[in-house]
Amino acid sequence: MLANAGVHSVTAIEPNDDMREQGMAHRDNRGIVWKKGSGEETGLANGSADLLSMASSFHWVDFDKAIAEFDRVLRPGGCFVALWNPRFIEVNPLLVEIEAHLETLKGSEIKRVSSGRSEFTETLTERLESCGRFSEVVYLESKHFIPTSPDRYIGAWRSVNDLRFSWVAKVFWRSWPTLKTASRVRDY
Amino acid sequence: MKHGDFTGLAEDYSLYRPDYSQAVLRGILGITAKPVTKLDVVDVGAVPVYGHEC
Repeated sequence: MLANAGVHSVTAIEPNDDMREQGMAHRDNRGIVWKKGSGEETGLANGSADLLSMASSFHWVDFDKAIAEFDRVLRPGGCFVALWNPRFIEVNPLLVEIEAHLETLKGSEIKRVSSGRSEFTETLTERLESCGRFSEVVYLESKHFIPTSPDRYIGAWRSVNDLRFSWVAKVFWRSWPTLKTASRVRDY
Repeated sequence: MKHGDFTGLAEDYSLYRPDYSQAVLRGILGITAKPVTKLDVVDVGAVPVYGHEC
């Protein structure tokens, strides 16, 4: 999205080889430079960026180490952006039903780290303000609507890390044929 | 797969995760200290913003 906005350059830092290779091969790659690195250790030069973002990923890194790294990499006047795209579950009964089903499986077996509507993001503004590395902290929010087919919805769930690795997740995924049928019925 | 390991999720991530808000993107670009065309941008954990269709 930002690459399409006409910025001077975009560098993508991705720690996971599979994710990075997928990004490099993507047809919308548009001159993006991909490098291996992480939030705590980007491998970038001092003062080399005007805008540094973490999209749906800042909750995975060590806060203090990553903020120190971003402070090093950003030029004076530069901006760090932590971005999430949480779903507005309450407006859709099917989403409420699915979340309730997930909650019944969750117990102590699925440890969910995401997402944008969590204790992490609720206190983030205060943490950024008090860390001493930013002159000001700005909070932006916008509602947007994305028409989503059942296949896309289920595909998005397949990309959720913490629902892919536990044995409870296997139970969760066995439920999908039922949920998919339900979503198709409601889609018509 | 381990918790926090995104190996094997990239294709689904790129194809199916919803796009971010264009209004928020415009807001971000509006508060930077430089014109958009002079911005050197870095994204960390990059597939969601830069590899996704938009």
